Amino acid sequence: MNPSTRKISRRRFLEGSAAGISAFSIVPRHVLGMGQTPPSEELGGALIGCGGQGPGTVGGMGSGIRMIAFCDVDRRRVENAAKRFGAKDVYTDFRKLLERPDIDVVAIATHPGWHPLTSIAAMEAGKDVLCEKPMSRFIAEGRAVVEAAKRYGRIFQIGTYGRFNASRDPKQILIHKIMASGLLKECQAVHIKRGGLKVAEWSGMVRYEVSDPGDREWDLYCGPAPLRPFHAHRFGGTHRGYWDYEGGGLADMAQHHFDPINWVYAKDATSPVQVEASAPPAHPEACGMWGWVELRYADGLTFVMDSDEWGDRYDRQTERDVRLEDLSPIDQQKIREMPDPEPLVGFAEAVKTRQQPGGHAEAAHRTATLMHLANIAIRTGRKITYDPKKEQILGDAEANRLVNQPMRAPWRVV
Amino acid sequence: MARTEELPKFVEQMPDSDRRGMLTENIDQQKIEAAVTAIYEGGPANIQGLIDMLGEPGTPEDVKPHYALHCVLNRALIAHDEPARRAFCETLAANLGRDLSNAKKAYLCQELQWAGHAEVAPALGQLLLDEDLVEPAAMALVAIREGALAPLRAALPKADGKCRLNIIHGLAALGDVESAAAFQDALEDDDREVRLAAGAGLAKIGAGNAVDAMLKAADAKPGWERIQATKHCLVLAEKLLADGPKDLAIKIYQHLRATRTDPSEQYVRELADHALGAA
Repeated sequence: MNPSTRKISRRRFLEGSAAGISAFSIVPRHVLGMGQTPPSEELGGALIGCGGQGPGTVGGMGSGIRMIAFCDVDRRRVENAAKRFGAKDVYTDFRKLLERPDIDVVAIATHPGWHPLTSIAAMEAGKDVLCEKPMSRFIAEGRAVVEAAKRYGRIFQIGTYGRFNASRDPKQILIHKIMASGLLKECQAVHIKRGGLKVAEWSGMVRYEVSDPGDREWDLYCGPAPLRPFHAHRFGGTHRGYWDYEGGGLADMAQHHFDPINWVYAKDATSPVQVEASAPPAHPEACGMWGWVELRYADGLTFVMDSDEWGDRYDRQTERDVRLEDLSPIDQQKIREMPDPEPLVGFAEAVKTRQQPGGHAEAAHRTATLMHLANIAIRTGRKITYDPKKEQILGDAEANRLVNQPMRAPWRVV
Repeated sequence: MARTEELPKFVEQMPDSDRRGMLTENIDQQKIEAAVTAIYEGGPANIQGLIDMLGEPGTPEDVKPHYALHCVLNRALIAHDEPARRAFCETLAANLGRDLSNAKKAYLCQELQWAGHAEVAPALGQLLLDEDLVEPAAMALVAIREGALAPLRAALPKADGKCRLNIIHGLAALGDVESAAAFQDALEDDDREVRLAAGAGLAKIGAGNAVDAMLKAADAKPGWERIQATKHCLVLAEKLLADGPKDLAIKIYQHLRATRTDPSEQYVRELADHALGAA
C-alpha cells in the first residue's frame, strides 16, 4: 500500500496520540513568557462546581496548586468556596473561567450531567482535569472524554481512588495478573456488590412543587439535559435522583465500588456483553427502585449489583473469586514468574511527569459504562446485548438511544 | 378501539408516591404490570385517554397518568409489538397539534424520543419554529434519526434565533452532508453558538472544502470561540487523515502550528507538531 494513501481510522489516530501523551508538556501558565519560576513548581488551579463535594475534590489534586478561580451556577455557593480558599475570582459560566491562560489544572464537581462537557472543554483549553465520579451521564459522552484526553494529550483522573489500594494488595494483584495474562479462557468468577447503593435515598421526586430558581443560573445548570421547571430537589446533592443529571445511587455509588474491581479483573479496556435486570417499570424522569442487575463479560466473568432494597435477592449464582488453581500447572508457573504491575500514578505525579494516571479516562469510562448499561437494562426492562468495541447495544434501536443521547443546544461533546 | 371504561381504575393501580413524593414504597411490580397490560390492550384510545388525564408537571393529578403513559409505550417495545408502537406514537404525535400546554407537549416529545420512529418526524418538525418547543422537538428528532433530516432541513430557511440554533445543532449532530452549504453560511452568523454549531457540523461530515473557512473561524480572538473552533479544525483534520484528502489535514496542522505561537497555546502547537510527525 502506498503510505501516502494509507487510511488511518480516527480511533487509531487518537490511540497514536495517546501513546505520545508524554510528548506534550505542561508549564505553569503563570510563568509562561516570564522566565521567573521553574516549570512544574506551582500550578494554577480552578474548581468548577462548588457544591458539597467540590472542596474535597480540590484536595484530591494534591499539593503545589494555587487555587485561583471558582465557578458555580449558584453565586452564593461560588463566593463561599472562593472565600474558603482565599481566592477572589468567581464565575457562574465555566466557559469564561476556562478562557484564562493562568489555569493549569481544573477540579470538576458539578452534577454528573456536566462532568463530560466540562472535562472535555477544560482539556480543549489545555488544562488537566480531576473529575468527580461518576464520569458521565451516558456511554458516548464518556468515549468523547477519552478521545479529548488523547487528542490534547491532557491528564484526566477520575475522583475515586479505591483502585490505588487494590493495586497494592497481594491478593488482588494475583487476580489482576491472572486476568491480564489472558491465560484464563473461561472465567467462572462472580463478583456481587450487595447493598450500599442508596437506591431509595437517591431516588427522584415524581410529585413536587415547581418554584422559582432564584439567583441560580437554572438554564446553565440543566445544560445539555432538557430544561425542566425548577424544583428544589433537582438542585444540590439530590440531583442524583434524576436521569437528566445522573442515574440514582447506582450511578453514584457503583463507580466507587467497581472502579477498583475493574482494575482487579483487568477490565479497563472492555465492557460486558450481556446485561439483565430485575426491576419494576422505571419512571421516565425519576430514578427509583430496582432489585438486581447481572452484567456478564465475554470471558464469562460476572458482576452483579444487588440493591438489597427491592424485590428478591440475586440468587442465580454465588460469589466466587478467580483462583490460581483455575489455570493449568504450567500457566500457574507463568503467573508466578510474571512481574507485579507498575504502581498506579496519582494525579499530581501524572500532571508533573505526563504519565497516565491510575484512574485515567479509558478506565473511568469503562467503569462508568457498567453503571450506564445497568441503568439502561433497568429503564428499558429488556435484556441488553452489548458490543464493547463499537460501544453499541445490538438489536435494540430504542435502547441504543440511551447510549448516545441528544444534547440540548448549544451543548455538544465534539 | 374504544377507550377502556376502566382506564381511570387501571391508572389508579399505579403506585402512590411516598411522603417525599418518590416512588420508593409499596412498589408492586405485578400490580403495575397487570394494569399496564390492561391499558395496553385498549390500544390507541387508551393512549389518548392517558394524554387527556395528564396534569401539569409535579402535580398530584399528573403523577399516575404520566408514569402509566411511559410504561405503556415501553410495553410495546418490550413486546416487540411494532403495530402497537407505531399506533401509540402516532397518537402522541397527533396531540402535538392540539391545544395542550407546552409542558405536556414537551413530555410527549420526550416520549416520542423514547419510542418514536420516522412516522412521528413530520409532527415533531411542526414544532421546530416554536421557541418554546424547539428544544424537545429537535432532541427527539436527533434521537430518532430516521426521517429527521427532512423536517430539520425544511425548517431551517424559516428559522431564526433559538430555533435556528437548535436546527443547525440538530443537523450537525446528525452529520447531515446535504447541509454542508448551510453550515458554511452559518459559520458567518451573528450568533456565536450558531457559528460553533455549524463548525461542529462541518467537522463531523469531514468537509474538506470548508478547511479555509474553518481555519479562519479558528483564528478568532483568544477565548471560548477560538478554543472551540480550533477543536473543530482538529476533528476535521482527523477525518481528513482517515478518509482523505490527507493534504488538507496537513494544511490544518501546519496552520495551527504556525499560528499558535502564544505560550498559552503551546499545547495546540505541540499536538499539531505531533500530528504532522505521525501523518
